[in-house]
Amino acid sequence: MFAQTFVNGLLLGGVYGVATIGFSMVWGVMGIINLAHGAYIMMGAYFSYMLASRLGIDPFVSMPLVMAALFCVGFTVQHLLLNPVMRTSVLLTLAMTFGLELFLVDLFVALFTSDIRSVNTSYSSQALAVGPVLISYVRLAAALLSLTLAAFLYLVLTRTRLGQAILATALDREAARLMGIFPERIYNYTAGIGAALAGAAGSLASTLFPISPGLGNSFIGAVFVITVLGGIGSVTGAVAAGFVYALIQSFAASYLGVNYQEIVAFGLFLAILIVRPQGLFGKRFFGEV
Amino acid sequence: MAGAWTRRIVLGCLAAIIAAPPLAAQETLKIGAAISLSGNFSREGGLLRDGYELWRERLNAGGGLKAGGKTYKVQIVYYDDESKAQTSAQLTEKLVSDDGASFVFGPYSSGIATATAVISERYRALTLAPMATANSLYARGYKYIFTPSPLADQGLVPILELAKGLTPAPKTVAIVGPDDLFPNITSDGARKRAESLGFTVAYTGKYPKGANDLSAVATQIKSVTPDIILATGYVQDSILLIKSLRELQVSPKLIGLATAVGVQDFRTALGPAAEGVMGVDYWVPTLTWKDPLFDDSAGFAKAFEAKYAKPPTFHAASGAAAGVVLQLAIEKAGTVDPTAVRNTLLSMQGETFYGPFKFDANGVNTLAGLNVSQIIGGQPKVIFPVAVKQADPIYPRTGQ
Repeated sequence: MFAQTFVNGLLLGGVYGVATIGFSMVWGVMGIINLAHGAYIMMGAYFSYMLASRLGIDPFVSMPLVMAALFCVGFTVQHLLLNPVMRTSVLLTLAMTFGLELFLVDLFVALFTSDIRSVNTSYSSQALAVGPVLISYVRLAAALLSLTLAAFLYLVLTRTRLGQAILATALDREAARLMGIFPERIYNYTAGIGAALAGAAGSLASTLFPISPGLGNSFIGAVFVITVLGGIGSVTGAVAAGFVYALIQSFAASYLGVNYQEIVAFGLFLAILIVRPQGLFGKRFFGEV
Repeated sequence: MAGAWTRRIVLGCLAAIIAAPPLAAQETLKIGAAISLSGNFSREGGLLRDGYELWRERLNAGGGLKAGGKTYKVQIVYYDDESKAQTSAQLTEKLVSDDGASFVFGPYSSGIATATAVISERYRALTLAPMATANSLYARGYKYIFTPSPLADQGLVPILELAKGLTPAPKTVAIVGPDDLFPNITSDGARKRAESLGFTVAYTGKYPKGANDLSAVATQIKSVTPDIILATGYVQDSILLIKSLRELQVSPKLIGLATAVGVQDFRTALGPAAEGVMGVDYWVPTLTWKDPLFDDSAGFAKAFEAKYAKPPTFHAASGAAAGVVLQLAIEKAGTVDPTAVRNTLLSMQGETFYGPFKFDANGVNTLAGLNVSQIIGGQPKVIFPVAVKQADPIYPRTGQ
């Protein structure tokens, strides 16, 4: 059971990582705590579900499409709603994203009802047996895809002009402006990428969990803890912390009881905030924009 | 001339109104119902009201309620409790004190009924609460609340009774569900019954309500390889649990849920993984119990569809059955005095299309039973009790 618990944690950790990267990046670069991030994940899951149930496209295949759709959502919301508010007060964005979350969840209740849906693939009951340990193919694929996405994003941030501009804006908004970077344009792209990653997480979640308009809520708590654990704004931190969080949750559930998984995880959250507020892997400057 | 005619018509109408009551010679029996028509329970509350309404309409259409040589037309006064216990209690007080209702039809959910029962008890308004089945409600010594439905601790009992007769005989049971009031009662009841039937309860587990991942639960269950897995959860977590079990290739001989597997979401969300899963129903249309108003369950279903143009659910069935129970008791008592009707209810035994009834002093129906359905070929089929089954159980379960 020890080995299976370990594997359960590892497989879930990847999905947590992808669910967190976008949230962490938006927070790190713009200082916005995007409470609508959970709703973006939920939207990603519904898009995947629609493509799977109407057109028969496997969620793993339709993921780029879903990400593109969510990129547009994130980009547009940032441009039309959040940038104007940010000019007055960054704190107001918190209220704004909270309202957006409520709006989106209720919109999906109206569009899809609160009936529970699920994507069923032919391979969802198949698993790789390594000794006594079963590794579900769906979860394995989700975990590997998560790592791939994280690696890709890391390369984008460190190797491309856009990535450098995003990091530069995160470090010093005014200096970036003097270097010919338009911060608001960079914010749009950052928000778009963040939403696209939420969409990817939703795609992956649609293969693992039942889908309902409340889906994002079950993630947002974990996303918060992982962001702080990994260091606000850090991509590699979010991925590593995703694994740490999922492993802790998995072991707490198996050995202390499932009721303890959240007590232990949130206890950890508080401990990190006190002992190492910049997170396990965080660099100080990312959060201080 | 027109003015004179107007006067004549008005006078005529007034005369008719004054003369009408003695001509009709029919009295009205007022029943109060504070029920959830908005808020969390609006759907369930609405379905329950559909059942109450169908009973009232059918009874009045047949001439009304006969008691002690008098005929009563039944009127039900409804208020919306907005799914709030406090509001429901206030409205119940208004119903019995201001509106003059001497009988009450209960709200949806035990939580709300716990608040309203205090009021109806104080005013001695006889209450039938078909959708409030928490054991605690009937353990407070209340004298005026009755439920025709089986209590929460019975939730998984019929599956265990069914399992007892299957071959190869299942031996071990795992019971799992969310850590919440109702599921915990069901879980305790199932554990006790399993032990008294000679099963070994190898695992009992609880997970937080709204848990997003149940692979830890599935891993724990897998390590005890039970023959039977019983789940006390709601629709969403039951779906997640079955998916998680499937990923870890846990395939017990029997999976039984405390919720109805006939729920559409359940089958569409799980697809082939739902195959062979058993669930518990309060009511199924194949029941053959008889009553004078609806004849049997097929008769009830037909009447319901004729009025509402949709198939009935167990909520509506329980509501209509509560009406029939009250009707039989009043007719037998020959009076509409709530205390006299209560005493009659305690001494009588009878049946409605919903099932047989005989109440103990706490208002619990000691003859109430539940039905078991199984998803066979993608459709829910009644498999237990044997008298009303549509198919034989598929055992051991063959689905993935």
